[in-house]
Amino acid sequence: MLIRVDDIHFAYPGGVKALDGISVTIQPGEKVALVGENGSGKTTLARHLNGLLRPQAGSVWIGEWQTTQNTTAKLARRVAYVFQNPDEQLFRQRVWDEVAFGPQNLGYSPEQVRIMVENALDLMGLSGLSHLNPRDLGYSGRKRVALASALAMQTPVLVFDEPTAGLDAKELEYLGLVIISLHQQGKTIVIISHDMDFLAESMDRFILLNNGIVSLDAPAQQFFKQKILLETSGLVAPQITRLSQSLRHSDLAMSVDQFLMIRRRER
Amino acid sequence: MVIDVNGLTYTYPSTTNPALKSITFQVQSGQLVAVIGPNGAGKSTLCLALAGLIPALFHGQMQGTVMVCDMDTQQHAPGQFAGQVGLVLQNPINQFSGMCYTVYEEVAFGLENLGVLRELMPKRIDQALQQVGLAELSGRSPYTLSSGQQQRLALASILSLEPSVLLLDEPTAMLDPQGSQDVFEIIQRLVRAGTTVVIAEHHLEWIAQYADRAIALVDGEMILDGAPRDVLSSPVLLQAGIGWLRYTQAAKRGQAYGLWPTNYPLPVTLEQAVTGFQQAGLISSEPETNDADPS
Repeated sequence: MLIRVDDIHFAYPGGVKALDGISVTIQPGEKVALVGENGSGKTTLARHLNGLLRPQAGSVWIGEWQTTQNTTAKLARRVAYVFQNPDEQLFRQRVWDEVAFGPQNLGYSPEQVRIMVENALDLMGLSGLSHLNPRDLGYSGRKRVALASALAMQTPVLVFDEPTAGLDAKELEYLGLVIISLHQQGKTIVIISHDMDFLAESMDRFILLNNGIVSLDAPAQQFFKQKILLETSGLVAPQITRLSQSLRHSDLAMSVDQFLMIRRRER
Repeated sequence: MVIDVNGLTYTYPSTTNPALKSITFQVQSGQLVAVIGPNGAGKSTLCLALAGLIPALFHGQMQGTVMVCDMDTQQHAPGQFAGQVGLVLQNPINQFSGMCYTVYEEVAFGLENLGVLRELMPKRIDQALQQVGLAELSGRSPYTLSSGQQQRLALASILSLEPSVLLLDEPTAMLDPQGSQDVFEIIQRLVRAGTTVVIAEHHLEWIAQYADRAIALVDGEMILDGAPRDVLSSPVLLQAGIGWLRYTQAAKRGQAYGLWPTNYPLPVTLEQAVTGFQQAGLISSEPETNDADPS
């Protein structure tokens, strides 16, 4: 599913300009990190991908569907969006019902819904908790329910807004495995996050937003070579990349594995 | 001792497993103590207990004592801690008054409730907003801010109260890296000026860089308490699900290839990592130099 964002502009009521001419094309199966300062427009851009927001100028295409010409309900077949704050997303009384909401509204049969929900719960390690009220789970538990709700819809495109915020090391590791699995299924994955260590290990392409425009769009290695731009944009490169830079490696490491390989080679 | 926790065991109402088990520690004035641990370990509960909100507001079963600013949390009402102890909650929305139309008013809310003189308020509000980088947004509604900006506002509301004990529950979870660094620099300035800070935080790199001391909680128990370098490089953290910094991981795994000197402690900061890896480079080239030496 090709995503094409063509020169979009968007201002919130009251005049706060969030997007000021953004153009991005995302190929099917790409893993894209959307990074930038708080308030740079990341969430606003992400919400344009599933039609939660519509551009005031320019266009967004999900395959051959233009978001302004299609309902959000229809776009939900192609793009699932996971809210930054699970409490903005979750509203049902049981984990199972919450996760089933999407597939039910996409018109799947009860049997299909059951299979979709069970797969999603299983993937997010929630199978034993399906009877609980999402509100009785901790913050990261509710985040997992929010993720499961998106995965259950089996859309080709997944947009995760800050899935890493508030997760501990074990949960982050698990999220990394989920992303690998989704990538292997051919899904397009867009992630907003401030956790550069996590992103460098999981994502291939980095898009930097600055005051509503794209100021850098590059593969991970090239992206983190732009030290000055990243600094002025409030970004800090991943730990292992900074270590690699400080030791003057010719290639920048994105993970501990890569670092050890480069270090052994260049010693 | 600004904080003196003695044998604290606490169980929330209608639960059976204690959220905190036999916690004992003291904090001296002007220390920056980081509390680390997986989600559900009891970090937030500890913050609530230190703020005097447990048991008063949450009820439940509490054993042991918690003394903060010489007040016993079981003997004093939460309001009595308000001027001296500031708590920044994990979710900023939970902290907002819900009654203020602007960022400016939101920061004023706490000052009003503490009865700060009206003529003193503008300076303190401006200063707090300046510190967190929200001065330009002072006329916006708190609810139109991005999550990161809301987190900054929650912090500003507490900073304006100038508490002598500052409790921060994951204050950087939604902040961009620069924003996180700003917050830690603010904290460092406060600590130098004598404020005592306890911070629950997942980002180990900030802790390594700024904290005087780290406490690790797992399943309500305190499993480690010490200098950040010792705590953050302890193998216990791996089993505890807290994990290690990439620097520490790289050095530990590099030992097997002679990339990290075996007699060096594992690193928890970039500087420590650079030094160790460079040192190993020198050591490993030494034997070759000796072989080439005819004498």
